[in-house]
Amino acid sequence: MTVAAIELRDVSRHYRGKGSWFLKAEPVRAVDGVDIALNEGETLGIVGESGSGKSTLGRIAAGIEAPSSGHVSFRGAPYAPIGSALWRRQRRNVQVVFQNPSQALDPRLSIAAQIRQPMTAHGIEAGDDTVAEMLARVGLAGLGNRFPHQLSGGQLQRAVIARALALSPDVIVCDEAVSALDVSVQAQILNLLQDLQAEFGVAYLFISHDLGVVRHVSHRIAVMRHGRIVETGPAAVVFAQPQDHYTRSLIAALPAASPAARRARDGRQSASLSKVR
Amino acid sequence: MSQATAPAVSDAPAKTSHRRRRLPVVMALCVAWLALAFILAVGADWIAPYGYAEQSLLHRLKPPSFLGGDPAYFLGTDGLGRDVLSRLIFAMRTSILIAFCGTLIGSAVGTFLGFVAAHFRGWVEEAIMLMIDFQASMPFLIIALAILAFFGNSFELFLFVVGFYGWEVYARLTRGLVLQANAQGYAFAIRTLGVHPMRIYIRHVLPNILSVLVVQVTLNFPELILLETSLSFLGLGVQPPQTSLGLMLGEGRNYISTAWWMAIPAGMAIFVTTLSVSLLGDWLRDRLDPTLRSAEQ
Repeated sequence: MTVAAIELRDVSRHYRGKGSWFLKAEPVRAVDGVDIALNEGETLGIVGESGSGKSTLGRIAAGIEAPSSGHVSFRGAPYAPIGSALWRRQRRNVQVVFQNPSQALDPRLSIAAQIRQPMTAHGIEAGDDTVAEMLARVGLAGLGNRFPHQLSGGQLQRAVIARALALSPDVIVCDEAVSALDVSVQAQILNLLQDLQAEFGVAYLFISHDLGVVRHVSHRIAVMRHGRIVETGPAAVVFAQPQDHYTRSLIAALPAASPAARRARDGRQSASLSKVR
Repeated sequence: MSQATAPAVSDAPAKTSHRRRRLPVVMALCVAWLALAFILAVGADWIAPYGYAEQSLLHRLKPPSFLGGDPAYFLGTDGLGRDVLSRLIFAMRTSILIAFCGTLIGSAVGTFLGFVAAHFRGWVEEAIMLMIDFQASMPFLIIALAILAFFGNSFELFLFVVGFYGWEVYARLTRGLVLQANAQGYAFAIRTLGVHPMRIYIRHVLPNILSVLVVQVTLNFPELILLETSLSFLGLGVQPPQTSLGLMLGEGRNYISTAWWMAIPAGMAIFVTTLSVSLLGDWLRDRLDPTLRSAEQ
């Protein structure tokens, strides 16, 4: 059996909750005893409503937040303590793409300088042509001299993806990476991510509240609720035969592409409706 | 100052840059006065017609030349027959030098402590915040008087005391901005790339918060001129025969009914200089505020 890219075993993350003078503070269990593994080169989608702990899970998997208990390993080895020199070197292997690209980029640096930066920080030789190549790969050819406020949201997210790819990481954690974008731009970014996966073999931990988006990109899906994983399996199986009632309600709430598709999905209602017509 | 803002302006899209590049007339006057003050301060030895301690007892308390006084003394002379214009020029040099050095010390110390507090958090932050609260809750003039009265007066100590003024504002500002950048913004994102924190602070955070700090400098600078003048007026600042704007005011006080020209020019110089820097600061704050800037686009 191959070693997973990232493996979480019995991982929990508790925050200190709000207490009062009379009541002891109950810890908030953002993530509660999660076991999950991300294989090399695959896309694992994590879905759940807001507050379900999926972002915290992503941060723990990426190694930028420490779990309260449990083990996280990257290719079989644990992460170094956050902030240490070894931890900084490990960052090369796992990158994060955040929800809001305009907040993830330094407003005072050109796009090209921002893409070059992680490479210089890790001592990688980065000439102008390397940066130009990265820019071209994400569809931003010739825009390297622009500043963040001169680009659109979709272009900014492409720049963030280029910056993450500059270190040729094994894993990219996409934390609501397309949620802040227009639907048409979302599709472009998702296709870009899939192209890059085919080209570089990078694995994605794809976190989103949007079931449609997750279905579009994921090989496997894990459904989270209240800090626990309620269901996990291959994307097609989870969608075709959801086992957990929470997963079923999530899928039922998904808007369908056409009335016919909706009827096909919700079987029992469609029979009565077609009789009326 | 106008040159420093030029690069920020040129980043803006073409349609708004035309309107923003124009310097309002009042601002032009402020900049002109500050440039003049700077030239006078640097070139005092060559520009001033007399030395600041050069006495001529035969020409005591002469009124300004344009009010029928001796044509050799444009702003008249003081009680020891010293040329008021020359003394004013040297006084501006002293006052501006003190305010400049004080601002430099205060902003450097305050900004550094702000970064330290935001980086280490925990008890380091608590300790620095306690110092900030302590400094902010004490009337600074009393502290300054106590230090100068207790340790005696020297120019270096005076500079140190003036530099001590206002550091807590820089520290608090910097800490808040760095925490903000660390928590959710670009600094956090860059940290996850594996860049060393020191590099993030110097190359990313500092340039981004510099506009806020520059505005704070322009608010701090006039306060320091006023602090220097207050302390010198009370006799605990610059010592005679050296001169400063506050000292000139203090010396002129005794003659205010008979020889007003000893105090009034110094008072005017203080007024115009502090007003210029304050107005410029207000204007800069409007120009450099990122929220206002993004609203314009």
